[in-house]
Amino acid sequence: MILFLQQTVTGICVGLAYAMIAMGLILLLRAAGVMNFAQGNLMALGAYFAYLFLGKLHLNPAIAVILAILSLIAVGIVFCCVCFFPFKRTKWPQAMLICTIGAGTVISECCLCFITTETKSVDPIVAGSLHLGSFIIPYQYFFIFGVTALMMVGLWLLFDKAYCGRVMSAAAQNKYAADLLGIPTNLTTMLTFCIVVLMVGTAGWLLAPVYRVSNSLSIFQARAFAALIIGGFGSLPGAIVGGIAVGLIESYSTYFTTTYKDVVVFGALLLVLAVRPQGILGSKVKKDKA
Amino acid sequence: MKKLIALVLALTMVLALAACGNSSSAPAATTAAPQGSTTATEGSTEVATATQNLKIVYCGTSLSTDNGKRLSQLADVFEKEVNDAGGINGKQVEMVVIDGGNDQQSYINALLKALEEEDVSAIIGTFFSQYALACADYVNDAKIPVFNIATNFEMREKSDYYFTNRCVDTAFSNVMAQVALDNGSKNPVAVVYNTSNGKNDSQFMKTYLENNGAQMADIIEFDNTSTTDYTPIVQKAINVAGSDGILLHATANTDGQSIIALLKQYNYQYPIISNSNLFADQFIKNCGAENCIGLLGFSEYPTPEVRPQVQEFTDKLLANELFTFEDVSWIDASFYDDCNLILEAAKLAGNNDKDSVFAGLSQISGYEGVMTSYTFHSDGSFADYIYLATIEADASSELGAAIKVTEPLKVEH
Repeated sequence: MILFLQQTVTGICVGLAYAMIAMGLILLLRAAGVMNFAQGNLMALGAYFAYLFLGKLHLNPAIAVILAILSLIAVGIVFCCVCFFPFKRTKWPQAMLICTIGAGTVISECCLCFITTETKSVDPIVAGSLHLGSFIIPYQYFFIFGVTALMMVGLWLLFDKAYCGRVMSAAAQNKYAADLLGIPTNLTTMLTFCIVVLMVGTAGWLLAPVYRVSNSLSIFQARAFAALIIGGFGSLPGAIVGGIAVGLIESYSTYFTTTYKDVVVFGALLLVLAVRPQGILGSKVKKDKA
Repeated sequence: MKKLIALVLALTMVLALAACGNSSSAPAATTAAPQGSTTATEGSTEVATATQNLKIVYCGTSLSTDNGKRLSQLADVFEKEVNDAGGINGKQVEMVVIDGGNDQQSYINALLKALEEEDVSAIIGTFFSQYALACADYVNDAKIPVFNIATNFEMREKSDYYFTNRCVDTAFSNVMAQVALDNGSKNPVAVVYNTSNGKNDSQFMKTYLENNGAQMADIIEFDNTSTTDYTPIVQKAINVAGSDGILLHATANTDGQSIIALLKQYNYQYPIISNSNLFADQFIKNCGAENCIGLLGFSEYPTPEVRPQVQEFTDKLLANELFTFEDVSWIDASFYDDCNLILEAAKLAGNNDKDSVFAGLSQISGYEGVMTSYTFHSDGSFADYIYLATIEADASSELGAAIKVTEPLKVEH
C-alpha cells in the first residue's frame, strides 16, 4: 500500500512535467504550426541553467532564478528567429519541423560544450523528505506539483482571461485576419515561443534535483508526445490529463517491469489509439470549439 | 580515339599491377620482423632492435567529454615520457587517438579505423562491455591486442585478444556480496543495469550469497540508457519485504547518482554496497557528498597511504605541462597502466609488433603499476588487488567526503 501511494504521488508529479511539455507542444503547434522536436532539449536546457547558475557559478538563488528566466526568454527569441521566421512562407512546412530537430541537437551540444559533459546534481529547493510513518516523499515533489499547477493556472488565465492572451490566440487561429486587424502576429508568435521555452525550461529546473542534470532529460519529449495523444491531440486540458495518465502508467508499470517501462507507456498509447483514437478529451474539446 | 582509350586502359593496368607489387612487398618485410622477435623472446642475449615503433591507438569514447580530453592528454604525456627515455626496443612510442564518439556504432567505426592503421601494436578500447562484445570478431580477424576499460568476463570468451588491467566482474560481484554479509545484510536486493554485465553480476552475487547461507531478496533491473526517472525503481527496492540491504551495480552517471541520491532522500537505513564505479572523487563531486557518505564497497584506485605509487603518479602528472587538468582520477591511472602494460609486453618480447606485444602480455607477472600490481591471468585480466573501501565524511576534503580504503584484497581469478 505504501509503495502504491508513493508511486501515485511521484507518478502525478512527473506526469505534470510531461503535461508541461505537451502543453508547450500544443501552444507552438497552434501559434506557429510546427511540431517542436526540440522541446525535450529545451527542458534539459532549464536543468543545465539550474546547474550553471547554482552549482557552477554559485550565484544567489534569487539572482539565479532571474538570470535563468532572462536566459530562457533570450533562447525563446533566438529559437523563434531560427526555426520560425525563415520558414514562415516556405512551400514545404516540414522544413520547420526538421529545423527544430536540428535546433534540439545544437542546444544539446551547446550544453555539453559550454556547461558540462558530466551528469551533475542540483540542490533541491528545500532539502529533505516528508515522513508520515513508512510513507516518505521528498519535498521537491511538492514543489514540482505546486509550481507546475501554478503555471497551468497562469496559462489558463493568460489565454482565456487576459487581453494579451486573446490577441495571441487570435493570431494563432487566423494570422491573415489578425494582420488585417492590426495585431502584430510576428510579435505574438515570438511571445508564444518565449512562454513555451520558459515553461519547459522551468519544468527542467524543477526536475533537475530529482533526475540530475544531463541530456537524458530530453527523453521526456517522447513521453510528452504519448501524453498528447492519450489526452487528446490539440487539447490543453487533454495534455494535462494525458501527462498525468502517462506519469501514473509509468510509475505503476514498476509492478510488472522496471526495465521495459517505455514498452508499457507506448503500449498504452497504442491501446488508446485503437480504442479511442481522438484521445481521452478529444471529442469534448471538438464540441467546445464548435 | 579507341587507340587512346586502349592506351589509357593499358597504362592503368600497368600502374595497378605496380601498386599491387609494392603493397605485397610491404607485408613481406613485416612478416620477416616477428621471426627476429621470436629469437629475442627465446632468450637471445643480443639487444633487440624492433622493426617498428610501438604504435598504440586509443579509440577514445566521447573525446569531447572531460574523460576523453584527459586521456588524449595522457597519451601525449606517455608518448613523450617514453621517447625522452630512449623509446622501447630501439624505437619510438607512437600514440594515435581516434574519436570513438558516444554510441556503439561510432565506437565500432573508430575501432575499425584503428584496426586499419598501419603497424598497430595494440589498441586501448572502450569503457563499455557491450561495445567491446560487438567488436570481438573484428579484433579476432586483426589479431591485435585490445585493452578495454570494461570488465565483462564475456569479452575474453569472445576474443583472446581482449585484455583489461582491472579484474573481471565475477571477482567484483563476489567481493560485493561478501561486503554485504560482513555488514549484516543477509537478504539484500540487487539493483543492477540490464546489460549482460549487470545481469551476470546479479547472478554471481546471488550464487555467492546462497553458498554462504544467505539469499537475494530480489533482483531489480533497470535500463540505464533510457531511464530518466529512477524514483519508482528505488521505491520498489526499498519496499521489498524482509530485505536488509542493497547491492547496487550502476555507472557513475545518471543511474548511479539518481539511485544513491534517492536512497538518501528516502532515508534508507540498511547498508548500500556498490561497485567500484561509484568510488571515485568525481562521483562524490557530481552526486553530492551528503548523498555518498556511508556507501560501502571496493575501489580499484587506492589512496596514497595504501599505495605510494598513486601519490608519485599524481605529482608527476600535475607537474607535466601537457596535462592541463587540476586533479588526477582513477581513469588517468588506469589508462597510464594500460599503456605501461603494453610497453612492458613489448619489452619482454623484444619487439614492438602486435604479435610480440600479444606474446609479451602473457609473460607479465608482478608488474608494479599505479593502481595495483599486475599479473597476466587466463581471464584476460591483470589486476592482482582491489581495495575494500567506504565513503566517509571528511571536513578536511573540499568535497566534504572522502574515499577511505581499508585493506587490499587479493583478487581470485
